[in-house]
Parts: sequence; structure tokens; C-alpha cells
Amino acid sequence: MTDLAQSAVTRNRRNSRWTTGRIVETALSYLAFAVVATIVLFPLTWVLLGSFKNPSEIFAYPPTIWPRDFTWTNYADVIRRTDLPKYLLNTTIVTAFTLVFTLAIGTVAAYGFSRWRFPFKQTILVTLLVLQLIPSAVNIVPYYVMMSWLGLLNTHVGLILIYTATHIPFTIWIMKGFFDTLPESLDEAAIIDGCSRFRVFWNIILPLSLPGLSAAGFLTFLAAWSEFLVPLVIANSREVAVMSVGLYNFFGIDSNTAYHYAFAASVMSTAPIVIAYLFAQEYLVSGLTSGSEK
Amino acid sequence: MSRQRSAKALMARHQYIFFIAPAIFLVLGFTAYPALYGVTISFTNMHFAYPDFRFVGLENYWRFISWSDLPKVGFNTVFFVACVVALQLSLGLLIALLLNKALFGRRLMRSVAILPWIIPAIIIALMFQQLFNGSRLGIMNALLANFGFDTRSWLSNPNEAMAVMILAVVWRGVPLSIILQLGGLQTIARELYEAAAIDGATRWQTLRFITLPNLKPILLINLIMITSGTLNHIDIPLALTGGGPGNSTEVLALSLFKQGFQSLDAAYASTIATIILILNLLLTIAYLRVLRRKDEKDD
Amino acid sequence: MAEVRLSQIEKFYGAVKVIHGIDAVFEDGEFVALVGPSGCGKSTLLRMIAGLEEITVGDIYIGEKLVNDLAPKARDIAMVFQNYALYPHMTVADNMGFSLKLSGEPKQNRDRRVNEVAEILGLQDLLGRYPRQLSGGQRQRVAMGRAIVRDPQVFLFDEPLSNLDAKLRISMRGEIKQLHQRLKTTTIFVTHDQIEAMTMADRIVVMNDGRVEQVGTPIELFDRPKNLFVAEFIGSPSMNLLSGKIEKSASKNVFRTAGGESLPVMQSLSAGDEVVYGVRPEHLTLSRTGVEAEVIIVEPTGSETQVVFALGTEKIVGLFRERVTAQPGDLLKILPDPDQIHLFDRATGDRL
Repeated sequence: MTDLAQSAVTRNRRNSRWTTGRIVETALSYLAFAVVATIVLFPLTWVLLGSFKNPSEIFAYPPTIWPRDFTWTNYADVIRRTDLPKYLLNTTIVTAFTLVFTLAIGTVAAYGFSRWRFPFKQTILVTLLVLQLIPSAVNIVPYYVMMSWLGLLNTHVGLILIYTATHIPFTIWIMKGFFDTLPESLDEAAIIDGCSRFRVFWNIILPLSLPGLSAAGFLTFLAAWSEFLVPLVIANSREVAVMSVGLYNFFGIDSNTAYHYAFAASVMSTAPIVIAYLFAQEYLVSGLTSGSEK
Repeated sequence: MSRQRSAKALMARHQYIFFIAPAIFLVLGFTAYPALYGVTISFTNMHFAYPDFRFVGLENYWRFISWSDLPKVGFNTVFFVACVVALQLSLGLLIALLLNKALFGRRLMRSVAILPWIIPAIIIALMFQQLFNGSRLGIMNALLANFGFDTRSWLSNPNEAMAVMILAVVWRGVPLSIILQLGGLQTIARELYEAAAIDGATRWQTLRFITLPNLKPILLINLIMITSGTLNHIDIPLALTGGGPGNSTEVLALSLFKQGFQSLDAAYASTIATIILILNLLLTIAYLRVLRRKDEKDD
Repeated sequence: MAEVRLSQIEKFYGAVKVIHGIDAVFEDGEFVALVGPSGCGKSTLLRMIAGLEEITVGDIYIGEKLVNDLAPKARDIAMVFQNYALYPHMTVADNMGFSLKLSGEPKQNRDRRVNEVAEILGLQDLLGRYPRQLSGGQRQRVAMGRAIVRDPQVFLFDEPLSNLDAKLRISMRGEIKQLHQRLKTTTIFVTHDQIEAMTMADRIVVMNDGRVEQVGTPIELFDRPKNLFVAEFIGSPSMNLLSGKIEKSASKNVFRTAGGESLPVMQSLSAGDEVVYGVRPEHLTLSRTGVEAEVIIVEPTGSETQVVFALGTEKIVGLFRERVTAQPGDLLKILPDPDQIHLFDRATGDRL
């Protein structure tokens, strides 16, 4: 894709003169993009910069954008005086297990769907896609009831179970799309070389699927890290609360007093995703479109 | 010799079951089963405060129809979904067209434009609360004052609260729309554009007769996805306005949550959930139709 | 090394029968080509020998061992695939040594064996590279190396040359044949290209529509095709086939085409038989005693000249060692070599 884009760019340069019309159009494009970038980046930058302001500056009028002096006090306070570190640890535990289980179960199933022909295969795949569309809002009451049956209310295990189940379908779709592009003769060569089916999957197919794996992994990570409604309902005690529930309960609507913590807490809660995004970005768009196209 | 079906061969042929079974059980158990179970709860009088419940038939549905908040919540929901869909789809298309141009630095631009998509809903809610803080400390009010406009109370004003809520949801939702539509734009063969250029098409004509018709299936799929996504969305309304002030920003999905986990009326919440599920089902059928038509066209 | 024996092999996909009872013996050390048009079942048959497809009915023996229910790895075979199927994330050395690694061979032995084989194939300098860094011919060689390393009883090749360009294909043909002469391992080679089969194989199995049409050495197939299918499939340009009748004229049998031209035959047949008359282009001569035919196209290649004639209503192709200077529209007299005539029953297609 990069090569194509590259050649398109060079060809454009060669073939077309820089007419006035083109200059104006390009300038307008950049202008339009500057507007988009401002709308996207302004709130984020404001939060990021706010996290470095002195509490006194945050509550001062008129509000500032650029901090008068940079300080880490907000971060130190959030870490020492709030439960955010615990919430982040809880989030990390739940997300990590969800990621491992989702990818393990999802890619194994995707391999099954990619390499065998069996009755109702297409129907099962479409059913998975449809089940994926059932929103957590619709299932939230039954989740609560089911978790109380299983004795999993206010546990991480309950969250991991639900997250894993709801993230498996898109993992299957993305990974199956990816596996389908790898020739089946690779599997056959490995089988003749002496691999079992599972070993083919593990030693040959999986190492070749890093792009798809990164895309599916990032999507799962993003969803699990950010999930709000489900943990709010089934795991909202202080001990097991994840980041989103913690922020909602303890920085929520009426807590103007914690206002100066909120900036630093938001930055700390979002940073892991941004870092993961930077790593996964390369593969993300291709992986996403391969999953969403069909 | 007759047809041989040795145990070993049978194993090899059906080995896929071991690969797909765990996924299928888990998905059925935690998506299909609760959805069906929720429907059955809607025919009972289950309440989280009382241990026992019994079958009550359609009683909850009659309650729903005669619910005094229904007109307000219904209007809010339709207005909210319609605004979000219109804004998200059109902005997504415009920005995708922009990003599809052979501009220098467009990879960076794409990364920036997609950024809101990765921010957790709770963070967006907190962020918009502070951006649109109704006091003079809110940065939006400060900007308004700076340019000589009146400050606003934002989240404590019914109409302004709705506007902020829509803005927050759109801010977060446009990137997915961009990703899908950019993907769609990139599958349109370059030869089509070259042929159009040779035929003397103007920029506008190229957009009108080449780009949009080829993008139509993706736009449709996107439309359906955004509609169902917005209809089911609870996170930002819950954390940003909580339905307030009053019930001026309460949408159907939020009513579900409030009925279930504030009034503890599990049965009534399940009734609303069932109605939302049916709306989703209709949207899904539309989605599969579009997909099938697209497949036929691709073949 | 071992012979491979197929007994009454059938294959169904659901209710569709794609292989219709095949019996064949591939002898120890032999190079056999399975050849036929695409969809004839040759690849399916090969994959059944490899253990990649189930055998619906029948038995396959490798050596004395019945292998029907054996996993591919237990059959002591190695296979080279059309797209090579090299593991993209492994080096050449790792690709070649993978099967030994799986069977638990110590690293020392593995390396020694890989090096030995690399030397045979001239791959010593490429052992550290990845498949994407290799040319098509080099990949092909690595794929063969991976097969040789295991020292199997049987080599299976599934159209291994069809992804190469024409020039490379011809040189690889020679290399594979040389390799076989050196290793003397039973080899089964699937191809749709009859020239490949003719040049490389000790024996050829011609398949069509899930059945064996003929088994024989290249020369047997060329000289005595058992039926119309083989006659047309083997040889390039392919045999001229004319429909007509045997007639008695002046105490000698002649063949009368539908258009009324008469051509000589040697075989003793009763007059009135409906036959197909086959003659290879290279067995036509320009002769004053021949029948008159109109030149349609002249294609000189330098070493020989191919001429397409109209003989009555039929087209007939001749291949001549001498230079032909005729122009389209000219009339020339052509004569089939009477010793090289093939006659087939028009109803059954079988050789008479």
C-alpha cells in the first residue's frame, strides 16, 4: 500500500504542474485539516497541560491554557492520596488476562474456520458476527443475574469471562481473514514434515500472523481497558474496581473538589492505550478493514 | 472393498471441532444466552430488591407503553441518534476524502484524526465535563468570554446539555467512520479515476459519479453500524450528564440502566432491553442485506 | 526406497466421484509422471499418496506397508509443492532442517545433513537467507532440498515447475532429472505439461477425468497411443485426427475423409469401418504422389517449418525439416508416412 501511495505521489508530481488551482486546493486541504487537528488535539492538549498545573492555577480565574509553572504535584497526589494506582492495577490484570484468553481462543477458532470445510460453517460465522452486535446494554441485567449465580459478582474472573466472550467474535473475523491469505500448502508442507495440526498452527501460521494479531490484540486491549458499563454493574466495589469505575465513582459528576486530580488521573489512565496504539498502528488499519469488510 | 471410515481418519476430518468449540461455547454462553434470558426476565416481575419473582405476561410492556417519561425519552433518543448519525457519517466522509488525497504527511494526519477513537469513554465524559464546565472556569466559557460572547451554563441547561452530549459522542465516533470510509475509498480502482479523467470529468463529477456510487455499500454499512452503536450507547450519557438536568438528556439505553440499577427494577429494565434488542435485530437484518448485496456485486 | 502400489483407488467429494478406481504400480527407483489436463484428478491422487487427502475406497502401499491410515509424516515421503510452501519466517537452513528437528534429530546431525544436501544443490551460500530473499529458481531448489534432507522412500512433486519462467523451467527439468539419476529415489511427478512428462519420466501415467488412460514409457505413448485422448494429449504440435471411412480401392485399403480425399493405410481393416485417422505433423511429407492440399499458414521456426493445410473441409498440420517457400493459397501435395498412421475406432476411441 505504501508503495502504491508513494508511486501515486511521485506520478502526481511528475505529471501535473503546480497550477494556481492546485495550489489553492492544496492550501484549502491543509487548512481543513488544521481545523480537524485543532478540534481533536485541543481538548487532549488542554487536559495534558492541565495535569501539570498547580492546583491554585486550575482554580484561578481566568483559566490558562499553558501552565505558568510545570509541576508533578498532581501526579504525586493522585498516586499517594487516591486509589487510582489500585484501579489501574486492577485494570491491568483484567485486561491482560482478557487479552491472553481472547487471542488464544479466538485465533485457534479462526484457524479452525480457515482450514476446515464443514457443514454450516458460513452460518456459524455470520451468527458470530450477529452475536457480536448484541450490545452490552441489552445483556447487562442478565449479566448481573448470571454473575450472582456463579458467585462472580465483584470479582475479576467475572469481568474476564464476559470480556473474553464478547471480544472473541471480531478476533475470529480478523484472524480468519488473515489466515485465509496464507496458502494452505504451508500447512501441508508442515504436516508432511511431521507437525500435528496444532503444531502447524503454533509454529508456522501464528508466527506469520503478527500483523493480524497486533490488530486484533490492540482492539481487544482497547475495549477491555476502556470498558465501563459492565464493570460498573458487576464489579464496583472499591477493592476490585477498574479504572473507569474508579474514575466514575470517585471523580464523578459532583466531585468538584477532585477537579485538579482529574487531569492527572485522566492522563495516567489513557497513557497505556496511546503507547499500545503507537506500537499497533502500523497494522491497525489493514487489520481493521480486513475484519470489517466482510 | 467398501468405503473406509477408520477412527483415525474420522478424527482428522473433525479435528476442527477442538479448534472452534471453546470459542463457540463461550460466545453462546455470554452473548446469546443472556440475550434470550433477558427476554424471559421481561415477562416476570424480577426486582433486585426482592428474592422471588413470577411470570406476569405482558404487564411490563403495558407499563412501558403507558410510561409517563416515554414521550420525552423517545424524543431524546430519536433526536440524539439522528444528530449523531448525520454528523458522524458526513464528517467521517469529508475527512476520509481529505485523508485520501495524495498530500504530504497524510499518515501523520490519519493518526491524528483517528486519535479520539482510542480515548476511553469515561475519560471523554470527564474531559467534556470540564471543557463545558458551566462556571466561568470552564475553558469553553473562557474562550466565549474572550471573544465577547455570553458564557453559558452548558450541562445544567437542557438543550445545551444535549448538544454537549452529542458533541462528545460524535467527537469520539468520527474516527471509526473515517477508518471504514477510508478503507472503502482505497478499494476503488485507480483505473476508474484515470478513465474518468480521460473522459473529461471535473472534480465534482468524479466525486458524484465515481467515488460516491462505489462507496455506497460502505456508507450504508457505516450508517447502520453508527445507528445501532448510538442507540445502544450508555457510557458517555451516563458519565457525562447522567440523563440530566432532569430527564432532558435521558435516552432509552440510559433508562434501561437507571431502571435496572438505580430503581433495581430488573424486569422493567429487561423490557427496555428487549425493545432495544428488537430494534438492533432490525438493523442487523438490514446490515446483512447490504453485505449480501455487496458480495454479489463483488462477484 | 520402495515401490508404490495403488489398488482400486476411488475418491468421492460428498456424492461426487472424482477418482474412478485406479490401479498402478510405481516401481522402486522409478521416475513416474502423472500427466493430464487440469481437473483430471492427478493432484488428488498424489495428495492421497502423501496422506493429505483421505482415500475413500482402495489401498495404497508404500513398500510393503499399507499406508491408508498413516499420517503423512509416518509414510516416509517428501513433497515439493507448486508454490514451494517454504516457511517464510525460517532461514533456508531451518526450512530444510525442520522435519529433522521435529523428529528429534540432534542439532549436530541436522546441520551435517542440511549441509550435505545444500552442497548437492549448490545452496551452501544461501543457508542463512530467508525465502523472500531468494529468486524463483533458488526457492525451487530449497523446496527440493527440504525434501531430500529427509531421505524419504518416495518423492512427490506437485507441478513444481509451473511457477517458473520458460527458460528456468527447462534448466530445472534437467536438474531434477540429474538429481533423480543420482539419488535413485522413487519419484512421482504431477504435471499438466506433457513435454515435461516426456522429457523427465521413465514412465508416464496419462489421466483423464479420474481414470488412467494409458501407462507407458514416453516412446510407447508417442508411438502407440492407446486411444484418441492419449493420441491428442501427447506430442506437440498434436496429432492430426481426421474422421472418415475405410474403403477398398484397387485391392488396397484406403482412408476416405468426409470431404472425399483419400489417404493411404497399411492396417488390414474391412471396408466400411468408421475410423479416426491420426497422423503426427512430423510424419507428413511433401511428395508428388500425395494428395493436394491448400496452404493456409506457413510458420518457419528456422530448424523446421510448420504448415497448416486445408484438406477438403478439414485442417491438417505438417511439420517439415526442409524449408517450405509456399505462400498461403498455394496447392501442395502431402503424403502421410504409411508406417506412422494411427487408426482409432470412431465409436469407442480405442486404437485399432
